[in-house]
Amino acid sequence: MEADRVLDLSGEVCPVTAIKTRAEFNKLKEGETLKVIFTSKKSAESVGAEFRKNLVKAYVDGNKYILILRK
Amino acid sequence: MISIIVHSGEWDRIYHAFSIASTYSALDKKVKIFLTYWAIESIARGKFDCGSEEKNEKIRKGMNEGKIKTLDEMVKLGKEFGNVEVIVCSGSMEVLGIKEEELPDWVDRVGGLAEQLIEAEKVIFI
Repeated sequence: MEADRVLDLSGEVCPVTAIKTRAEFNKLKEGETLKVIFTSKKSAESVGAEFRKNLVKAYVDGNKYILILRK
Repeated sequence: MISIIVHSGEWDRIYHAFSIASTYSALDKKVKIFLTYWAIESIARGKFDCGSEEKNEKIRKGMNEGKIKTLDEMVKLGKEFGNVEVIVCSGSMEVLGIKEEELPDWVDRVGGLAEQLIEAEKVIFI
């Protein structure tokens, strides 16, 4: 399993991507990971920058942009 | 506490005020949205006007693509963090003759400007 929780934000853009990622991230326990799926490259980049201290992995999967965040 | 005072009745400006409020709320900041004058009229009468037909079309396109939400959805996104309160200016309501029952359910209460400003560390006017 790639992450403890998954948040699919396909079709969403900023600021909804930032708000929903923050809501899901807050639910993680220490050390848990969150996989966030984007179709908007810019939104993925801005969330990636916001969570840079927690960013474990970032990659492209077809038309999806994936971030793995750890609390 | 951040105070966002919305005077404009233009839909995109009200939506932007709610985007700012919800993002602050997500970042654990207390926010009070204070709707006054034309902003109240727009939400009470369900008006959709972004200032020009061209802007209206662009915003409608964004909504059809799911990129722009409804006012209701955007303010509730922020409320989920428990840091957003939506207050409507009592003075403006009297001037415009708008009654409380005309207000959407996401309006928390009617209030005054002084209360809005007294604890505000920052005021954003839209």
